[in-house]
Amino acid sequence: MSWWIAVVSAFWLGVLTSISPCPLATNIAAISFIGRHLSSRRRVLLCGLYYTAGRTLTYVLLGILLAGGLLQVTGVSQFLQQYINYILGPAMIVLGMLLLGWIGGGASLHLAGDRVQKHVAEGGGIWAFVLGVLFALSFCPFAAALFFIGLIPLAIQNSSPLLLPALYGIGTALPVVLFAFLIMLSGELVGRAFNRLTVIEKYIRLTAGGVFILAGIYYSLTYIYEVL
Amino acid sequence: MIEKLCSITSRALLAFVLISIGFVLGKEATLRQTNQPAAQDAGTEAVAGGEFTAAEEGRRVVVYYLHASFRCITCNTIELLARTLVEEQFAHALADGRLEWHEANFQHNPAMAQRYGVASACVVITTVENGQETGFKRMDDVWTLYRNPDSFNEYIGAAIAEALAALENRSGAS
Repeated sequence: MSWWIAVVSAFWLGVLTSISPCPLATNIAAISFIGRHLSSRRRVLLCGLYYTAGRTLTYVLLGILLAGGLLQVTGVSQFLQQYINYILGPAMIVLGMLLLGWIGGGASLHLAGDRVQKHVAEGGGIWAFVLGVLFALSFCPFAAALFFIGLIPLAIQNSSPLLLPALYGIGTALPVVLFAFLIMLSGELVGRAFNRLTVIEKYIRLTAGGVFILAGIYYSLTYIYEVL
Repeated sequence: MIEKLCSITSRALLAFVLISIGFVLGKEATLRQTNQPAAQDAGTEAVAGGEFTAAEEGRRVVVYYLHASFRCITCNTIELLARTLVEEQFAHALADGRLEWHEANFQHNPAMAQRYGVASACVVITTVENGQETGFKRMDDVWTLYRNPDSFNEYIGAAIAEALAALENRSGAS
């Protein structure tokens, strides 16, 4: 019985992390990234799966290292909350620029090759995976509390450094993927109704790029400059 | 026209990214420098970290609210609940110096974070005797109780009351 309580708790902790206001900006960015392919449900599903896999694998690795005593909770929590959040803002700005084609395109600065720009814009699953890893590692205080204070002791108590962190990871990704699907389906509906699917898809992609840049600026001002 | 605007914006964003990276490096170097003396003194001082000085003589209970640089909505709620409790229910102890309230950024005080095993924002209740910290209790359950202020107050209030009573007992014995 207590095993099932632990299983449900791990998943629920993940969902709670995802729906809390603390990681809202990264979640909005992830939703816009995953749900921007209006013309292909398969692509959205694939991106969603890769994103979930990225998050889940990260938490499983952390779970194994922390529950196995190979890393210390305080040190890891400190490191991730500080340094990954330093990287998050600039990385999201660069990703947003790649999505908009401002890097690597004809009129831009040629910092990345055309292939990189195209790969990100077209939404290769690998980028969704990378995003999942990056967002999973960027712990805000609420997520850090639920993971390091809630989940890890639960995983140690139940000798489950693999399954419980995996369920937590799925819990953090599920609301994001569901919302991405909702966005995609509603965009697709509007696009088909007005026979403007390609145009709407283009605007959704541009919005995704804009969201990334705004979220990147927000995270830079919050974590690097500490002005928000 | 639009292309030119995009080009200007992208250059400005890249400049922002580069400045941010430089800022992080500078900030880290400064933090490391200021934290070195605090880390060396962490074992002997009652209160570790750059924001506080060594404790004076006497017995008292110190309640810390430790937070990260990013103050989330839930973190602010926890801080408000804890501070209100200390100020309202323990006004007497606060006024006569038996109880103190402090807040600190644990990311700017790594020695403090290490000492109390801090993983995220939290409340820590410590006892100080003759300038030396003699014990501490990290209140991790604030993250599950913040939605229910009564339970939250009971949890933190009981721990503070217990620490104050223990201190008074030792004071009476000596």
